[in-house]
Amino acid sequence: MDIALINQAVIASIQWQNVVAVLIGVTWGVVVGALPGLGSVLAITMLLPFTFGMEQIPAVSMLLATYAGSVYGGSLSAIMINTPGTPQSAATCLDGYPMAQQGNADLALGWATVASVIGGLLSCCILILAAPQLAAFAVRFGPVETFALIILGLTCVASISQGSIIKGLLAAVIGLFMASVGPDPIVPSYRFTFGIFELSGGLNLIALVVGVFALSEVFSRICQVNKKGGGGIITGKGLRYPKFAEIRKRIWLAIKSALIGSGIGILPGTGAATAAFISYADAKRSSLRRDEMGHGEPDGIVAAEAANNAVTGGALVPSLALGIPGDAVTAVMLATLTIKGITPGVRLMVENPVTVYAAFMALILSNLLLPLTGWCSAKGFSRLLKTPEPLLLTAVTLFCFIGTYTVNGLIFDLWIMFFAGILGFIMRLFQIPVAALVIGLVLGPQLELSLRQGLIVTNNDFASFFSLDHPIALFLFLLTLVMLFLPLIKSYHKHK
Amino acid sequence: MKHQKQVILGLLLLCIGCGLLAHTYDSQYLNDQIDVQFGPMFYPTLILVMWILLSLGMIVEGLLKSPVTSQNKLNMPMLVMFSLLAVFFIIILDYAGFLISSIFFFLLSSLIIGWRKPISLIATGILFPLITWYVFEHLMHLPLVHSVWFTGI
Repeated sequence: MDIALINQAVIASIQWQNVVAVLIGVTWGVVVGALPGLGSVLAITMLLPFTFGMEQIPAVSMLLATYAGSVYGGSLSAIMINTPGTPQSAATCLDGYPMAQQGNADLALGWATVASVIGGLLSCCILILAAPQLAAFAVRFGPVETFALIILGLTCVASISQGSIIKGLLAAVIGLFMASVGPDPIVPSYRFTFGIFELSGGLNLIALVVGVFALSEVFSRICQVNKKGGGGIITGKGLRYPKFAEIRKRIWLAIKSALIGSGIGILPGTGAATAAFISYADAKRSSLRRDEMGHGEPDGIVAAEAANNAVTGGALVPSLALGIPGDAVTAVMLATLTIKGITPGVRLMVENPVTVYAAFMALILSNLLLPLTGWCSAKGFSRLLKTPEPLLLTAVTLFCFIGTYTVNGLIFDLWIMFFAGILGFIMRLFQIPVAALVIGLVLGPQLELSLRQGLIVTNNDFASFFSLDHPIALFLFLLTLVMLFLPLIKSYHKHK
Repeated sequence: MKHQKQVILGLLLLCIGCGLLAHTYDSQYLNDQIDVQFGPMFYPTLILVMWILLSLGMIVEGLLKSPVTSQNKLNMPMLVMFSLLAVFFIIILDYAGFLISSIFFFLLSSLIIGWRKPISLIATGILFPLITWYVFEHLMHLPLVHSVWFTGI
């Protein structure tokens, strides 16, 4: 790390063109991220043509700001209407929406903002201090290690299955199965398509998430209209920050979640949704207020939001230091760098250090601007929520249709969303956690790919997954066991 | 009553799971294996076995728990009407395009859910889809469904 280079980067990133680019990027990201179904990739790709005429640093800064803004924006709709704007924010619904139902939507948004800023800033610091070293560690993550990490992520199903663990596990298994529909990741074959051409690409994740969360919520509300005083729509009052004493109580949780997010973000292909669920599961296990989680406890929001925003920084580590895009968002970023004449890869930090450090600074600036853009967006959202319930439910449904359609431009995806909505509604009727299904959907493709690649790498020897040949995987498996059995052991000792 | 329903749901899921598991033995998947010991149906079979076991677990759980009567009465006729309208919306979307279908959907859906003020209904029912369509099509340049009957919308 060269202080002189960082100084140059700071000077470059506080130029007015750069600050304006970051502000536009964050605002655009928050708005698009809050619209169910649109997501980070769409927000960035829509802005991409505008960067062609810009200088290197403002162009990259604007896209990074859009990325950070969109991940945060997803939490607005997750909290206010139980609809994660992006799959990354699905875990935020678990406590954000119950908190909003209790009349604390503004406070829930405040917690989401605070946690997002902490998560984002911490991941930037990690990025600046140790990007090359972390990238070198990330490449040691093979399929066996990824499999172990995904199994660790799946343990959060147990923590969100209140009442009946069987129902939670069943929902997760259905999600895992749905994720396996479509093309096989290893051999050229299509599965469970039943001759339907549109299924050959698999079930669209966005359509499923929007259907299961948002449309099923609309169905549930419609069922309650005119019963017991109506559906009880959330009323928002903008954004209210928690008291400093409350933040101080949860600061370690935020830091820990940010570290989890940064760590998972560094690993190519895992993503913010995985990080948010793993962090949530960890908070559910370790938090002093774990019994309240799932009923509107800020710890749940802090864990999910700090982790998913930390991924934005973490994901840049392999992208910038090694030229490996971890997901679609970082792939678009790398494409932008290439368009701007910068070759991503191991030489990037050597050949263009100022641009790279300026990108980190832009991410810091984006995170610092989140409270301002979040406050404005929350105000706007609150006004929208004052709309009478029938009109609001119809508008939400219409946005679900638009958000889903714009992903691939396929009417078929609307059918998937509709049936996912019915499935989600039935699950709600039977008190089956819909979040468990989404966890299965999000983690399913990675689980299968890493398992099968791992079997190929180990010559079909599954036992070697748990051997000392893979010490990182072994550590993660042991951590999974601890996360599963520690609550049982604790309760046994307490009982004794 | 609720747990009887859980048993029925468990049975339904068990049947679906068994049907899907049977499908994994379809000959099309056997032919597709290219020198890989664990073929395309290896992972789904594992998942479906878990599905079946958990469905059985759900049935047993439903049988063992004491029956509880449902406390909340749901407005199912309204939900059925709304669902049918949504289905109709998806069907006509391809023909009438986003703008016309969404105006139609907005007006009827709001009426079904209980909004009876004609002026605000008509104003929002037309303005909201129109503004949304304009923003997505012309400002964000995100194409929505176009009508096969009318050009330009």
